Amino acid sequence: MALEKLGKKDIISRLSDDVLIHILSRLQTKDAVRTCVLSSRWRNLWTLIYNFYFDDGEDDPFGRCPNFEKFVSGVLSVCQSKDVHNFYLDCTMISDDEISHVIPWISFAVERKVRNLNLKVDMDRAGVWLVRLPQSILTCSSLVELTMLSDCIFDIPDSSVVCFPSLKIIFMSIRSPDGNLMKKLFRNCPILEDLSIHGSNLKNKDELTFDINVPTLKMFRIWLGMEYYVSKHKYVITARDLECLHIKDFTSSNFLVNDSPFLDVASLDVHEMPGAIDEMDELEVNRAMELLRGINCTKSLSLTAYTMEFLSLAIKDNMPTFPIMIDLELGIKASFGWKLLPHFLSSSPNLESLTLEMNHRVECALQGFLPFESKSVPSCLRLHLKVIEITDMRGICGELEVIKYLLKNSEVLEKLEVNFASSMKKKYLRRQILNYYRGSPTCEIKFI
Amino acid sequence: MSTAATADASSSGDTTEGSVRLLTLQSEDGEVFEVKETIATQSVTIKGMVDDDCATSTIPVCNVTGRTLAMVIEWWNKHEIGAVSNEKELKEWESQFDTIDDKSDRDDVYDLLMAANYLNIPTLLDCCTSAVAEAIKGKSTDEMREFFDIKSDFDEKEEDALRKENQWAFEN
Repeated sequence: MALEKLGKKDIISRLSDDVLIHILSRLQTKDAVRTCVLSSRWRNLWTLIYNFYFDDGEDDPFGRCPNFEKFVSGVLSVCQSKDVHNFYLDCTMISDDEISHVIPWISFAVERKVRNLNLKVDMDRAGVWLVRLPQSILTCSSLVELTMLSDCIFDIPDSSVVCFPSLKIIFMSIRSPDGNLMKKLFRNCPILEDLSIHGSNLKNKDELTFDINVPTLKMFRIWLGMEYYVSKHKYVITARDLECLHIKDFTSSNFLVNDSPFLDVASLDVHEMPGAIDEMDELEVNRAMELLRGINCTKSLSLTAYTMEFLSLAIKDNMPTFPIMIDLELGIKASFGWKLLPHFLSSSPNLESLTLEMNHRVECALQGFLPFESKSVPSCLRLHLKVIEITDMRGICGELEVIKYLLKNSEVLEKLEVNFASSMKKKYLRRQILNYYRGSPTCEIKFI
Repeated sequence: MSTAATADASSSGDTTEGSVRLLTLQSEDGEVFEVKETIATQSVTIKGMVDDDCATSTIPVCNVTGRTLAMVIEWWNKHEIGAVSNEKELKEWESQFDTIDDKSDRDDVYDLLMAANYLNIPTLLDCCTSAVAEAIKGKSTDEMREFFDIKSDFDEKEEDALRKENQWAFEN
């Protein structure tokens, strides 16, 4: 339809092809295709889209569409874009007959210079089936970001060939991974910066060592869970330029961080298996402490209450020193949190900011309560600590005593911020805290 | 959506404020805005003119009204490095542009889209195209035609044929 024939108010159809293609490329491909019937102006516009989002509708309340394979193949056969930006393929319900088409679809994306490839092809109920990716993906120079939400296999040659020349970001979800293949994959990515691994219920029976040796890596996140069990697997992280490390692990896995990287941020949420302490050998009990030892050169550290619980099993006089740590955030359960806090304070000579997140989810059993005891005043309190934040305070299990101690001994403190869990006792607690002696005369106290 | 004229009309030409050069932009309806060069060069088009030394006199911004240009300048000001302390605050501020609730919002987004396209401002173009995409999502063909005032020039037969051709997209 010529533009002058358009309705007066039909401004959208007058927008340039470029703009309309941007708009259509932001839609699920199915929705983009549906615009073809709007008017003749729109009929072929969708064939120029540069992003593809195919979802076979597993989550669709109407159930999965039977013609998914036909649709994807049909769309790709008329697609005119030579530069594909994003290619998402989510076909968790794909049938055995259709599976042979998946490889040509991925090959299509690779040929059209895909930058961001996101695959979830996960149809085998037993979790045995693996996606074998086309060989062309190894040399794909446009690919920057790769997300694999199902176990994928590549045929990476043994010789040290450079693969994935432009790949910077990998997100992978693993269920029955091949440790050897993963090692080869990471080793062969020359500029990989950001790696996330998500593993749940790893099915491998053998003990695996995941060798994550990536000299260019800056960001590493790993999430292992959900079921609590003591994992046999070992994760060895060798990345001297690492800046950020986030570990969330419900499986008491064995982590080893080599080379003491200088980190900006590290956060740990590692759980011991509840009640399994008797079944754990000494090495397993020490796992959280060993991990902490590997990341002691971090500017900022965040540990959940569960991590503190795990650490408390192994604490003797073996706390590592944190020479450059400025920010520390600790989850505190009174039964062991106060026991660990003095160790952290005396091991962090340059600490400037301390956040204590009270965790009362399990009511503090008084017999398990370990009071805060500190023999000598740690130097960070006298020289560096400027900000203390306490969240979810209830005024029980030694909270007030700790605040009293910190206020008295923090000589350069600028601010104490207290966030109460409820308004009960709030007035009383405020009055108590305001009455405490302050080692730093300029300290401001804020209640929220 | 709000408009805020952030620059005063003043004499045209090449002026400076401190060490920052000011550019003079003129909207289609004759409104004149003075904008710091460092801000206006968020527009790839204007940056090209500055680089080629073509930005010494008043720059006409065709097809963009004063009202829209003021919104564009507000966008630039917010997106200047250091203007907003964190990404979250910026996203919150942007959220006023990224949803289209009614036809009046829709027309504002059209105006911004055309300005963003003409001036080539990638951040604004991204925000507006995603707003329109959001408005398309979940609408049936008829709802889309109604909302965007699109008149079909297909007869029933042609439309049926198209639906059949792309059957999967129309199921459910």
